[in-house]
Amino acid sequence: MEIRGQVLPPVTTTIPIKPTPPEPGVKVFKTCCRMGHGGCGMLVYVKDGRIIRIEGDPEHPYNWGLLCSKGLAAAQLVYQPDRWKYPQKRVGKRGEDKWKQISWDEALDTIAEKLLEIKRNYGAEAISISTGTDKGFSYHIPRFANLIGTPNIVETGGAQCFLPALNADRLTYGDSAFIPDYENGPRCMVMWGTQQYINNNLCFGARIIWNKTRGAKLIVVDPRFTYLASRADLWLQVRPATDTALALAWLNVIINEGLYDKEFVDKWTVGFDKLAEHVQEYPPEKVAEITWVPSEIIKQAARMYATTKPAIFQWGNALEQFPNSFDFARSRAFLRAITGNLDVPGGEKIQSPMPGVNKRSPEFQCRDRLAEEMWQKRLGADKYKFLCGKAAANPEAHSPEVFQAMLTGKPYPIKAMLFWGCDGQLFANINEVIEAIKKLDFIVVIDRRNTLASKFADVLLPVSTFLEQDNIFDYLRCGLPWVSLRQKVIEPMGECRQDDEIFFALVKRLGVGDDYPWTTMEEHLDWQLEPHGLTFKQFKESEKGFLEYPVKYRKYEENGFKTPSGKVEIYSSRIEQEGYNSMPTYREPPESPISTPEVAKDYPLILITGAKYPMFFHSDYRQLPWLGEIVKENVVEIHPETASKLGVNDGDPVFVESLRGKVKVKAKFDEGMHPQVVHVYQGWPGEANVNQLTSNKPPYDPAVGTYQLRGLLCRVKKA
Amino acid sequence: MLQYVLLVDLERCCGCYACEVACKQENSLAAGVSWIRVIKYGPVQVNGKLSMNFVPMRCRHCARPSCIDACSVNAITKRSDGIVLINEELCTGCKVCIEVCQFGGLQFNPGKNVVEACTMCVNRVDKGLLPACVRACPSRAMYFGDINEIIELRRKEQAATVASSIHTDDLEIGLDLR
Repeated sequence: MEIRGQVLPPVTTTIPIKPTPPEPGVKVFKTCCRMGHGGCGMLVYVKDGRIIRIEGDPEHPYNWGLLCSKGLAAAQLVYQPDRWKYPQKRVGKRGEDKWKQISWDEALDTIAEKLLEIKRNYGAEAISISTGTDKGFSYHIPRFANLIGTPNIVETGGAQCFLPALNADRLTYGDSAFIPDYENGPRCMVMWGTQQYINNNLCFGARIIWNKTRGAKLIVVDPRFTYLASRADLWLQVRPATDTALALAWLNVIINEGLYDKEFVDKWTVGFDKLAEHVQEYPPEKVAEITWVPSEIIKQAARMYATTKPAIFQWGNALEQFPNSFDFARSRAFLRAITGNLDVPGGEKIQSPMPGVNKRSPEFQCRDRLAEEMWQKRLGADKYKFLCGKAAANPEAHSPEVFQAMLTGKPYPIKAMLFWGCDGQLFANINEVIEAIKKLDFIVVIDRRNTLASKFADVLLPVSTFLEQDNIFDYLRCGLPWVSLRQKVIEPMGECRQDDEIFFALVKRLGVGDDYPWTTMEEHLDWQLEPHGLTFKQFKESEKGFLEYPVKYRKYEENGFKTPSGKVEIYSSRIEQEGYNSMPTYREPPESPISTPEVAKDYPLILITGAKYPMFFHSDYRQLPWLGEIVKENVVEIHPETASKLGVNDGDPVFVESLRGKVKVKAKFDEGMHPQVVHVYQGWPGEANVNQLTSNKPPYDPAVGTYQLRGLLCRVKKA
Repeated sequence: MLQYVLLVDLERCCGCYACEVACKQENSLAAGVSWIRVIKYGPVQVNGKLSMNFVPMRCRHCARPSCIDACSVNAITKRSDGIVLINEELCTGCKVCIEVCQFGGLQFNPGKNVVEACTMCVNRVDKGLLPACVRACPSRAMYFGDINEIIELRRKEQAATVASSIHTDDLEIGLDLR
């Protein structure tokens, strides 16, 4: 059964939305955006080789013509003056930030020679690669690493973003989509640790607002009083990093009051009885003390979620940023399942089948090409099975241990790091990370502009922007069986190259070119499009620039769930096999008023970090004039009463300090903050970088190795 | 007689700033000049309740513009369809209009030494297109059109919202356990 969206944009004008007609001499290109995680249909107007206008494509079903502030400003990404235009090599000492221009051949030859030398002298495992948030080329990295023989790839996100839920969802019901079926009108939306409209999913966040207009209920769980919290039917102001206890209390209420979908549970789940017994340890009254949410509100929220159908429970970045991330994700997966919301219209999407290459599969990643010895040597492999091991959804190394190996040479040295689309500033405990980076023999930064890492690098490679690239875009993250065209609207500036093409060129020099059978992007795209029955050229020439396959619901009725038992595995043999408890439990954050009361004496405030801005994307875009002028500096959001006790006024410069370091920001009064909790945003460079405060120390999440970015302890004082 | 109105449903404005950027692109605005600015108000206690809102502020194209009275060179005019426009050629940059505008709608452009403001994208509107901000708004918080048509649109929209909440969502817990 296929339903295409009842949740359409509200009509607010008597004139319909249509593309601006191009003036004479202007060519309009259809492409899809990549300012955030991307996929929004975009119309780009080009005159005399220059982009003069960008609008959303009103016909694209992902965004119906809307673009966020970032998409609308995308041309500035191309024309920013400080963009790198050619490869550069360091002159002078590391960190002096002095460069000379070199050719691509010299740059690539230098990189290959140096990496092969390190491989000979220290083993491939001494080479590490780091990347930031997915940028469309990221899928090349695991394959590249496995082919050159190193297990040590890391992400700033990774265990702190995406992987806890990706693993937990797959282990529970076989597949996972991060964006549920907003299109078909969920009647209850749970926004827990997320502001879905404000980060890089405005196209879906807008649907939350449109859906509310149609009377859907909204439950928000967030320590901050955000826009969504202000519009919610229920706002649960949870104590930071105690969310797992709250989710288990919801399970307690829903199970004890019999509000779950009995038919679905009986027929399609394994281990429900174990869960029912386990959650008796989390009654609302007890959890209210842990989480600061009154028990009556806990019950109301759980009941509203369980009895309003269909309902969605949106994935949230915040829940992946403290060392209880895996168990929270499991609890959320159980809630989605026992309320009968899996794979129903308006509920939790599970990916519909479509032809094409799965670029995140073990096969594409050439996982069998990584030597067995290297699987054991991967830093973190002995501990974090669902981050580092063969059972992990996206095997990679544990970043704190990689930086420790750089610093100390133990258990073995890391001698090189390629920062491939990774600023570097978003790693926790950044001061320690910088010391680690300085000890490397060889650093390559592949990026668009100066970053934290580039300052210490040996070679800089300039990449093109998405407006200067050919590509295809899949919507797997949203569980949608669609493919969009991305095409060059102008030629890349200077000598910039597309990341993919840099991979193709490097692998040949590193001796694994046979396994990377593409030289040009067009060859690579033709290969990906072959199962769809067309070439990239034909895709470009097609009228829509978009491929759409049927969305199927309740697929489990035909094929079961993609788990060993074919059912939703509340009890998971795979989890127990790796040595973990199948039943999620609450663990107090490692640094907290309860875990570390002696620290709390000197650092009495609870710190949350990392809420997002609509016009920035993590560490990026502050340098684009139209976006950078909207918010110019970092702040600490603090309750006025707390601030006045410290002699701090609204707008005063202050230091926020933790055991790791301090940041300098402006105080911003916020009556929505709990008096004991403060918030500092991420993504700001230099002295405003909140990662001077965050922790990369153990204990970590046992299953995926998450470190503590939120719920830490801090103090505030006038600067 | 046609009277344009541009309304913002403040319930829906979520502070995404798409309107600010769309306006800058449409009107090639200089750095630091914004004809529409989204002001964040809150979180703050209002009458004992926590409140948080975003309010896009631009020229209101007032029915009785104080700026027109204040302008000594008659640089500002109001069209019959309601749109208020500043003639850049006539403006001397004296800024008296800025003093009298209580909405902060008028902007001073130091590069050109003239006062500017939202034109309701008159060039687009005259061609049957929407103002850039309205076109861009992702929440669809902005309404634009002839005032009486827009009022009718809002009436029908609210009726639909009320009607859609009547049936299935108000079941008491305990009456229907699916």
